[in-house]
Amino acid sequence: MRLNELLGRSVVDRHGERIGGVADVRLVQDGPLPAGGGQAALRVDGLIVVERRATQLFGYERHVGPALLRALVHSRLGEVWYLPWGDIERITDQAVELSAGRAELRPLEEMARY
Amino acid sequence: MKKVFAVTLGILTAIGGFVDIGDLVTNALVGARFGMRLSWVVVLGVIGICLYADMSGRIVAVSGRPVFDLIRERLGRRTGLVALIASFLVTLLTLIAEIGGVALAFELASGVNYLLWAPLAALAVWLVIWRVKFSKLETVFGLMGLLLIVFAVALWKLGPDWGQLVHQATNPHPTGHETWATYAYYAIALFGAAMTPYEVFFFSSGGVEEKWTRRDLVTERSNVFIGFPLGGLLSLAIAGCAAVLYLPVGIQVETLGQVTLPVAVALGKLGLAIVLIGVFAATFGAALETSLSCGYTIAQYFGWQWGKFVRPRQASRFHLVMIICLLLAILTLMTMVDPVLVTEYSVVFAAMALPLTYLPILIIANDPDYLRDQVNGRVRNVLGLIYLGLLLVASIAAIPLMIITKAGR
Amino acid sequence: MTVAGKVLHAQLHLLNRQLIDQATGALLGKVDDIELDLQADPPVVSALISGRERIPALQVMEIDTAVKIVPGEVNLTRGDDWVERHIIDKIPGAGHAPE
Repeated sequence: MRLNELLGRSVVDRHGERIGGVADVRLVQDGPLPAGGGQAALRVDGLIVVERRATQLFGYERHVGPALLRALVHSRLGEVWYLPWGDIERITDQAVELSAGRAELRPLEEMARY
Repeated sequence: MKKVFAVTLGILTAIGGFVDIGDLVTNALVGARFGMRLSWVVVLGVIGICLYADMSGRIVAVSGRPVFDLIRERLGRRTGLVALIASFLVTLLTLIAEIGGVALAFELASGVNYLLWAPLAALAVWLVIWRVKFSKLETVFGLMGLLLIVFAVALWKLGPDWGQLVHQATNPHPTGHETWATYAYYAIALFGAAMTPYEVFFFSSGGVEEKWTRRDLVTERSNVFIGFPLGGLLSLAIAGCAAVLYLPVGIQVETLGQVTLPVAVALGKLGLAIVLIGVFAATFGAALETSLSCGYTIAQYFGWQWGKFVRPRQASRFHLVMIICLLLAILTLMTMVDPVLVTEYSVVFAAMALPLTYLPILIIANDPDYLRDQVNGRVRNVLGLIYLGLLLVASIAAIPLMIITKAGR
Repeated sequence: MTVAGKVLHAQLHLLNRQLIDQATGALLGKVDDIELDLQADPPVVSALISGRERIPALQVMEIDTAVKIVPGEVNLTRGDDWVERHIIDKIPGAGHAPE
């Protein structure tokens, strides 16, 4: 599957209610090492989900300045959550379905400040 | 010692390179109609360009990547495309104006109609881009452009009433026939002339061409913070000359000849010769910079190989873009459109594109991934945001004012 | 934390990045899309897409302010090659270093 297809896709809870959209994919470089040597694969760790329809974070999921722009972007995005890969029930053509509900999502801020 | 030389050279190049056909025409025009009453805009514009050119220079010195390259990364493909289209079109328009300026300078010197010079000027620009090393191209035309200091000398020689000039500068409002609408329109034009987008693209791509690293940050800062303000003083001198000669008698500046006349009046044939060489160098240098910027913006958006640091055949599409742009410039000028008019429009359109150009720079200059420990401090961010607000206001007001004042008539 | 380390955000750090040939430093285009193998366990990035070309993940050597790759068999210079052959090479001096 292509990243551009995944970005913007609706994220729904187990009742089918739309929670938000996929804004980015978190990758961790600790996947399997290739046979012939080289760097570890980029493992898909989870998805960054934003509440509203806009999906451009402009890099402001991080705590970088200027503060005014960051605040403006966040007001446009609504809440920002992190969705670990394990919490995904399945991915259909229209949506990413969670096995849990909205209340169980962790806000992105809580994760280790990257 | 070599470092000192490099710094001085950079400063001189920045002064000489800062004034292009847009600054020459707009400052003279404004001086003739408003005297020094719009000086504050020049000051504002110089501070703005210093602020953002420093950010672009820092970005390229630390990350090795020029600003426009990063615009697509930060804004995303679609918004980046909008920024590309706006920046490219404005830069192309400016290129047409600069080639027109070169042709007009030749016409003044030789008496031969500028239409005959235009294709030659474009060809010469292409030849220099094709064959001459980047550093040589920058230093030669930057230094020759320094001859425009003759405007300052002429102003002093004209023996103006300095008190009156200062009075005009400190009373920033329209007088006589002028309305607030035309005053505001020309404020925007002057702002656009001082902060034209291609300046930052060229400055930061130039950093890659010259292989800047962190160690060049000092050079970069002195070029910007000394060179550009001195260039701003030059702009004020051009306006001052026009104010002294034309304002009292209510003549409007409409030709390049009128822009340079004060120098001839003050310093005779020698002055005229010097100013013509200076105008030629400044506009030719700017023509080089704008063609290269046309190439830089497109190549950097798409990720193509670009730059004069490789042989032309290694950056084929980059060179093809520039050739096409120069051909378009010739074609446009051949329609006999007045190059001075093209210049007047180019600065206003530049003002309109400014927010799209400078917003990504502010965002990128705060990104630790690119700038590590050299990200913007709070002061620069506050100033940067204030300027972004100003640019937005200017950009939104430009078209309505253009319609209301019928492009400043 | 710099991107050459362990954690990346795909859109933030990979998408629309400049591709550079690790050996020669030549600029090869931008990352237009990323192919994710979500069926694998664990799901991983399997390739980078640039234009019509597909660059397998193991040819990606370094991810920093640009992405350095080993092009291998992937032909990323198609556009430039065409223009070079049909237009630029016909102009004298195309192969000379500027002076």
